[in-house]
Amino acid sequence: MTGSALPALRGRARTSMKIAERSPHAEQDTAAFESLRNSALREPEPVWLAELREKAFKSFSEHGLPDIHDEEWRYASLESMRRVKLSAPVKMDLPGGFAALKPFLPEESWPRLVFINGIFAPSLSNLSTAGPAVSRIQGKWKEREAQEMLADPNVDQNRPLSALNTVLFSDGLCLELEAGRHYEHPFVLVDIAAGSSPVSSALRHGVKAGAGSRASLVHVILELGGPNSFHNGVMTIDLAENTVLEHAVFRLGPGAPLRIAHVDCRQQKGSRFVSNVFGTGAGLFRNEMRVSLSQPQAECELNGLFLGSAAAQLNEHVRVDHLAPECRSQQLWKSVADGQSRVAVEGLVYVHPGAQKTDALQQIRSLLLSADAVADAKPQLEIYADDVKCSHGAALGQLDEDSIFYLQSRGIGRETAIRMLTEGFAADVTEKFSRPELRAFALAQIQTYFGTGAAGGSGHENR
Amino acid sequence: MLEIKNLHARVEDREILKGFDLTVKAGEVHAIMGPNGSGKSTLSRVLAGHPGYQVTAGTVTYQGKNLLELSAEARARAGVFMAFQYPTEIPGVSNAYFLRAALNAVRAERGLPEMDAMEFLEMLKAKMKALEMDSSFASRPVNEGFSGGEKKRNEILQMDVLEPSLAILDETDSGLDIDALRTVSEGVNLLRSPERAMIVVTHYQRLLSYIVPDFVHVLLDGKIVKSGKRELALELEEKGYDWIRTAGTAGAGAH
Repeated sequence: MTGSALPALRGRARTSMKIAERSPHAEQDTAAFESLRNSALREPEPVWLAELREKAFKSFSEHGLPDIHDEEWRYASLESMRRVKLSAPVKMDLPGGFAALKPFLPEESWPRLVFINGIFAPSLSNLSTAGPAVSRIQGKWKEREAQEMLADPNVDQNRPLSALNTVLFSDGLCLELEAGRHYEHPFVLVDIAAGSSPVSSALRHGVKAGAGSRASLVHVILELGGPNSFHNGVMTIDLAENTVLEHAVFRLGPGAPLRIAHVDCRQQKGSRFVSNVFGTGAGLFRNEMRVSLSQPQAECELNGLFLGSAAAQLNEHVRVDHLAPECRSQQLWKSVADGQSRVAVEGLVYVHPGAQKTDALQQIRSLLLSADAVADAKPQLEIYADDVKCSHGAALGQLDEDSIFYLQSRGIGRETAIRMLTEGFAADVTEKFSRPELRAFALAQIQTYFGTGAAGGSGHENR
Repeated sequence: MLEIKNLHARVEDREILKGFDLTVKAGEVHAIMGPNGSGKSTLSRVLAGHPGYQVTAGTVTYQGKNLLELSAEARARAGVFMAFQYPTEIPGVSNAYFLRAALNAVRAERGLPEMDAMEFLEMLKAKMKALEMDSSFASRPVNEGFSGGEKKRNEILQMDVLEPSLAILDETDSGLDIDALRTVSEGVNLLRSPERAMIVVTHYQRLLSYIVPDFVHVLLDGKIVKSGKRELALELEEKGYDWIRTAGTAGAGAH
């Protein structure tokens, strides 16, 4: 790949921490979601939750939906949402049943919680081996733990869409990991978007890991429905001392909704958070992460691969806060943009005063496969401590003709050569999955992206 | 096997080959020698089908077919192989994966079934052993982080796997120390056969002490100015390319 350094990129470092501006459409947006809020059927809720929602709605009304004028939303547009009337989802079956879901599961036997348009789907879920760690947010509202998990003021701060999630969320995964326990099988969470009429769904997931626990969580976001639906999920993750959580996100499927996935992770002393994001498909996918390294020796590793085609908008928006000394963060984001797709990665590493001995690395690499595609990269570092090791870099390029020729000169056709080189470009991200099942699953999704699904499977055993 | 007539080729605005003629028969090894800038690498790349080179005149006939009409991959499938002077690094693609894809593309052309991964790996490891390559090179990304010698050995390994009819070695000796030169040359010599022709492009005579050619041609300013047997290479080594320049073009096209 021929890389060019920063000047060729469309993004530049900018000051962060802007307050979300009030959109000129704030009133219209507020009205639209007011009616959704009223139409959502709910059990009577405890006072604290009603208050939480009320406060969040007020916060949302002040901003409205973020739009292009908002610094944090320069690369993703929600504009199409204002042209349709969103309704609250109703319970539905997945057309094709489990057979339609199966190809999108990395492993069938892992415990699984499935939602369709934000509504729990018991017939597709498999909780027989899940144990007490897995439950649903709905129905836990009387418990003190649920209140702690949900009533977090930081989640909604300056993020109108998170606030909107707090207003509307109906259900979600609650994963409570027992202290000291090592969970053998990953937990799988599946969010399916289905149906042709535009709906709005909001799931709120919470993960709470007890000290010294070790687990992995795979979040499959499966888009099977029509365009213009709006799925706005939030996941909060709390990692106690010395926990290890491996988190994977796969955004897949042919549907073209607007999909927002927030992850808000707080880490205590010596904890380790690994997140591997694999984003492809159509419509808008925005993966928004905030990781707070709150105590010493916490570390996070955030990696992602985005494969854009047709008119897809894929957007990673990540912020890592180094709040304590001796923490480590490593990021590797790679994107491939084909067709007229737009792929953007924005990342901020913020080193707070006192966070000495911070070790932070952020890399963004983008590959353009088409002249009509756009790739943006905006790496940012803000450092308010003086004894730190921080670096970041971004490169944008096209496939190198000499590399294509090298493969052709060995008898490999041009299209196959381009596919092999792109797979090679993506390889170091797919290798980040520590489980072979997830690695194989990611490779299979790359094959799907190139339309070589069935033929491609062989050959990878030599990698 | 190969007949090149009055070949003219350019890269961007510069004409590099200016009426190149060469005939190669099966089983023969031809050395093309010449100083820097004489057109040696251009010749190799034009024959391999590099898109950056434009043929403006002349013909290249390979096994009765017009080679110039074929894409680079079609030439490879038809049995033409070039060992690169500077092999390209392909990050993220393992040597074994790459080579099996190449071999199966070539086999498909020859009407042979695909070779499965196990069978392929066994064959590959045997060939690597013969070239004194560590078996870990099978799973390493193609040429990435390889030393100069390892890259050249990897080129010869590819040639060994793909079994071409016509092999073009583009300055395979450049950047090699004596030991690497010996192993690489031994690898090449093992592949000499009555059915296979080779064109060995080099600046120096020393490679030809290991890979002994049947014919030696001197390339100067885009065409062959002198041809002879192996002794010509020794004479060049002794007298330098200036000797040819001053001697004029009396021997041109002698072959």
